[in-house]
Amino acid sequence: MRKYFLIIFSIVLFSNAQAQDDLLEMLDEESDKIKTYVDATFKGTRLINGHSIETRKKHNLDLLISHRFGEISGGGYQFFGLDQSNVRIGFDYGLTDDFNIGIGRNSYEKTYDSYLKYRLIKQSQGAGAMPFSVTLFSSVAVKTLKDIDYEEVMDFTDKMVFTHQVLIARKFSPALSLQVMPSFVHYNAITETQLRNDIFSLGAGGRIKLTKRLSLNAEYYYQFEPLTEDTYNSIAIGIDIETGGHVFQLHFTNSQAMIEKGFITETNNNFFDGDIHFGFNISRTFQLGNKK
Amino acid sequence: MKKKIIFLILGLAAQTVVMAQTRLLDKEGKARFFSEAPLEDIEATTNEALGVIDTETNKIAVSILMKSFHFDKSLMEEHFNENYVESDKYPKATLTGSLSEKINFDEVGKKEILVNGELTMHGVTKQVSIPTTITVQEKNVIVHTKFIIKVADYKIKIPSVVIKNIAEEVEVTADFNFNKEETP
Repeated sequence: MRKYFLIIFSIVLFSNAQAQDDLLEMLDEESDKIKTYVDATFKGTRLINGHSIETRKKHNLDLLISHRFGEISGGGYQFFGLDQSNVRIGFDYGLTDDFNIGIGRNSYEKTYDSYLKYRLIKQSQGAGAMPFSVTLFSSVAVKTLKDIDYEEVMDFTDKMVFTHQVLIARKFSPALSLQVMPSFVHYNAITETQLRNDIFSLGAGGRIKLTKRLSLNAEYYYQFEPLTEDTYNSIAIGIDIETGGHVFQLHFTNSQAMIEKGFITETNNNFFDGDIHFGFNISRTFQLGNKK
Repeated sequence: MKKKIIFLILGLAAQTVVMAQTRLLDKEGKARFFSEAPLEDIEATTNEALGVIDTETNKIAVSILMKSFHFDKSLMEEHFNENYVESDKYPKATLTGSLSEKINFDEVGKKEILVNGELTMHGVTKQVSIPTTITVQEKNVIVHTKFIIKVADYKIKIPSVVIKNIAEEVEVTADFNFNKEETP
């Protein structure tokens, strides 16, 4: 007898629960099943010197102008480095939302560079969520500076330097994103002072958002075995300021080069001796067509 | 005695089943917002708006993931999520309300009514009264609505630099098509 009452009681309870059950709760269950991708892990396509996992979306053309000034340790005479400057002018273009190409010209060693970048995995929420994003990156750089030692022995293919990176990042919260970048740099030919053709490196970096439009970024590349005896690991610290279609990045770094092979393997300043360069990147995005 | 109790159980069980069937769900509702500003028209659409009507209680609820809104310009979409609606913090816009008039969902016809309730967006809840057309067909219930919201009411801040790009009032339209034979 008691058993029946228990059953009745539980059914009454159940039907009551159902009646009171908010309509919205039912929708919440449904919306949990919808997969959405995590946006804006970083504000720009560059963390500081190196690339972030972000890609330009389809038909977006990004004009990127970067500067690195001289060493701050140059003091008042060198106007803390502002007397000298290196410029890279580059264009990035989104062939698709996930596949980007880029070209650039650097005043530093008159180097041309070009890259391909593919967003392989996107961090997502909801059904079948991926906890992180992965972007593959490959670039080639060719130095065209007329240098007697160098020019006479090296032809065009000898001068090519390749960088391959796997960029892995996670947006932990709206404020915090971290990235690691296993990297491999290959020199087709090396000079006498250079020790090896292949350099393995592991980079790490991230950003902390200070306000909606301002973030603090840091980036570090560790070389397992350096290119020459007097290269240092690249360190960079900076801020990103975003205003609509522009992203301004201001930073301090011990690297002078603005391309991968340069800052990963050819940084010859010691950050902790104050041989730091002030620099900035300005990016302006133009949408050249509709998404569809 | 035992029989009576069993009937009671069956009756109650049947009731719960009936109650469950009074709800109509649409997972592919369409929503769009449009704003006209001096420099730029902004338009975004989604086909993933969730809507539910309880035909018994005449209550309605809508839930839209902010991230499901798509824009023509991808940067606009990113800024919308990052800077304006902050969709990481406030992922959904929701509406719960009741119909101003009782609707007989078995009777074919069209009615202009109000949905009175609460609209929540960007963490702010406002009392709203939204003009809505409900068309009851043989197999479907079609709900259409169009209304204006003020961006400032929901504490969505527009910096003065882009004030010419973004209007302060946004026109929202939503269309749901509930299949009466499909019960959630």
